[in-house]
Amino acid sequence: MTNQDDILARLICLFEDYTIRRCWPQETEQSLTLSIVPTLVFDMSGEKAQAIRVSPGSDGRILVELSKFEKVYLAASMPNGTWDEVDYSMYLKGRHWLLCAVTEIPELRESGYECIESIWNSPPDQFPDLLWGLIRWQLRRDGFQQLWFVVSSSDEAQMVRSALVALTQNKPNATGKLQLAQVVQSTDSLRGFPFLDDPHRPPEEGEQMLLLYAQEGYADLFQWSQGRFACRRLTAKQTIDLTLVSRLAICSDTLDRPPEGVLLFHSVQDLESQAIAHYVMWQPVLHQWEAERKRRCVQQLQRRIAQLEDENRDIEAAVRRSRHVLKRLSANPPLSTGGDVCLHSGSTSAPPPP
Amino acid sequence: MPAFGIDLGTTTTLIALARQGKDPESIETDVRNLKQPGYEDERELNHLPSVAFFPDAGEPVVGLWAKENGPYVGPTRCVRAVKRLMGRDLFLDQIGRTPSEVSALYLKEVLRQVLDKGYAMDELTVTVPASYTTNQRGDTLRAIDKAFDALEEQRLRGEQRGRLLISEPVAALLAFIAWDMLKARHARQIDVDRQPKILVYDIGGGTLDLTIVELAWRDPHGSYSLDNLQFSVLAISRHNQFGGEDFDLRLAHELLYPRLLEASPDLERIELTREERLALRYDLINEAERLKIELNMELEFDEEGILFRTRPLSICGQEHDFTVDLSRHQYEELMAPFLKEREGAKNALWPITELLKESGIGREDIRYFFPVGGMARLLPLQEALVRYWGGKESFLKFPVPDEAIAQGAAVYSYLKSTRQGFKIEEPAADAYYVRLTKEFDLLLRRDQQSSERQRYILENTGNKLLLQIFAGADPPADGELESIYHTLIYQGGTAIPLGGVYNKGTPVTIEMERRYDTKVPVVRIWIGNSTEPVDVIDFDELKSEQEEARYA
Repeated sequence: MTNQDDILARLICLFEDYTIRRCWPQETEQSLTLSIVPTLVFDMSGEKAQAIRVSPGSDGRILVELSKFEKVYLAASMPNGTWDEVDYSMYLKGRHWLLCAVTEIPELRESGYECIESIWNSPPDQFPDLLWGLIRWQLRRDGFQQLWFVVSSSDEAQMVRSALVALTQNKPNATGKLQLAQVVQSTDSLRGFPFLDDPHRPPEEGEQMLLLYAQEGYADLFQWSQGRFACRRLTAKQTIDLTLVSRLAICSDTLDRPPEGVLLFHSVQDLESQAIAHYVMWQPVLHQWEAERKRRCVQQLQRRIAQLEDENRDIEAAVRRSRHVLKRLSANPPLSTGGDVCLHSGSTSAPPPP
Repeated sequence: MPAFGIDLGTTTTLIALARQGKDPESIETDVRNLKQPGYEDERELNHLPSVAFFPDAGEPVVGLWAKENGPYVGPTRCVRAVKRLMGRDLFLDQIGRTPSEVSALYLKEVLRQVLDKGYAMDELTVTVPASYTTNQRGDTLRAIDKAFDALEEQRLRGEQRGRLLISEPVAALLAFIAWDMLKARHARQIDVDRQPKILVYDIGGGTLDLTIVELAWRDPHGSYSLDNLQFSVLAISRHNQFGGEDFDLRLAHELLYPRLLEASPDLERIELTREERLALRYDLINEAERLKIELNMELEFDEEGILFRTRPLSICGQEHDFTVDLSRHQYEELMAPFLKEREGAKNALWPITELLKESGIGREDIRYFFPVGGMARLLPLQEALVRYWGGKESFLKFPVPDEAIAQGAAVYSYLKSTRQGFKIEEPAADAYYVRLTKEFDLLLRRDQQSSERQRYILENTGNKLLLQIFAGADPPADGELESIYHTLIYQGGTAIPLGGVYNKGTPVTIEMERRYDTKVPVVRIWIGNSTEPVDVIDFDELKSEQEEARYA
């Protein structure tokens, strides 16, 4: 174990002793439930594309696996093997676009193949075929029911949405088994989402979570607020109050057995694929939850307004009655019963002196 | 601490690590990407091609560079598929090494890359074909030791360094179960409660290995975990030297070479040197592998077939390339000898029939069929297996079938190092059996020096005697003989020449004796009333292919 790991281990112990809450409130504002069906997620928000398989894991958790791009998928002139991520470069072989590395393009062009260096820069009418070239193998092989795309901009989201419409029209046999195809835009706080990998511990409003990057030497502090993660990167000079932090995750290649309750990711890539998968799974639930929370807020406000309106009506009725009494009294002043009685009727004139 | 496993394959070598998953009970595995020595760039693959090149001077190069460039630079100094030569104590003259020493180079390279990343290593498991013989297993262990020694790593010194062997089909199944257990109960593919029998069909680059495993809980009320799982290996196939290389060779010989001659007829008149012939052969095999991969991909989406263009082949200083127009029907015709069930060593289906027949286990008793290994992806093979099995409902599907064996080896290392007492009931070569008909007639246990003499009567007139020798950890119990097919010492049986023609009814006496210096037995055969044995078969001395041919 390296020194860095020693320090990390001590930090974890310290953290564990003081701050990890082992028991969460049994009753939360609202329970969150995930309904996971085998899902394929294409993460196209980075410089390279990744395919991630998501399926129900044991104990209600999310099972996340990288779906490798196999050698059959790629330009045959590339060395054999499998890839966790691929360039957005493709070449036209026969009737199909196939993946290739950017570095292969000069040779492929020399051999007479049509090539696209990045599918994002392709003409709109070509994009559906290119997208199909990217996803077809994995989609066919594993028979997924749900397909998600995570992109980084609204333009990309629009391109993918249009392509999906075109594909369902042009390739109904291939895409017919899909129950759902969705496009989402990634957010800055994506890395906070793996913290939600515990169905028994939904986040609490204001809760803070810390993600340590052991090799890289920095940390991210997340705060859960109104259905979102706010993220702040911490550097060496910044201090935080660990007692306010209730969940800890560590990204380390050399740490093997995390203390109970601490999430461990073996690499940044591992973390990111987990983050994407959890984002895709949780985002609709949280969206729904947040919408429900807002709906309840509106309902409460509406009830309050109704209550206030009722109260207002009572006040107005009282005022009306008072005015009526005043009017009657002004017209027929009562007889003196021993003392003077002065009544004001809203007149701006000053009251008579005592 | 992660545990490591290596799939030392005929065509590729993979290394995987296993460590605790998110829960203490779960195990996560990962096949490590490997740099390819000899290339300046940072290209990484999930494997190291099991190919070595030995330059005239300097260190040998293993991996992709050797595979792609070796045939051009020096075809006679390029070695591939040494796994098929393990256990024979051959000496490869042209490179001055034994197969075990070549295997050690692959092991050393993958281990070095992992150790360079800062991992410590206590336990290492290397996989072997289930049907590997004692000699072959011994050779593999020697290769591991040589690799450890060559690394000169303090971490790998001493008596305590763990090195384990596990059968490839069992490793693949272990990986599958570890993966399946990560899933929610309703999403799991294997139902252990029903004590299923699983046929593992492991087809790699050079070997087709079949194993029937039965799964059960050690404690039916215990936890749903690997610790509580009992693996019983019920049957192991004979050694089938059949795999991806055979598909490549057939494509190279039956398709590419004739097309090359059609495209460049002058080649027929050119006298090639031995080196040039070898280089051309390697080139055509590499192209055949590419063709096979492309065909697989195209047939997945198109029924029409493929127009394949080879890379330029350099022959006598001239470059030749050509195209192959191959329809699906033509491809199936070409592969038919492998994929239509027929008796023979080079067939994808016959070994299943043979194993079921010999083990006495019915097809209906097999609950799951688990295709695994790099060649399990091949579409025509998948279709042939589904046809043969009558549907794919019982097929277990692993996401990356060519990584299953390495992952399983790592899981085995992990379980051995973290769970005291974890074991898999797998026969190993510590006892020997002779089978003449349907029984294990002679038994030589590890604590015995010699077996009892058995006397038989020849049922036919002939000049040969069929004999098989098996090895296993524990002697078969009475009544279980037929269900246990242990590691074959001599693959597929041996026809022993009797040195003359003997009539039906002639008595034959056989005895097995342990050699003083090795574990491997010597078998003596007497015919009639002769005082001297007519043949003495020393299995440790069956070293060269010439000697092997004598008994073939």
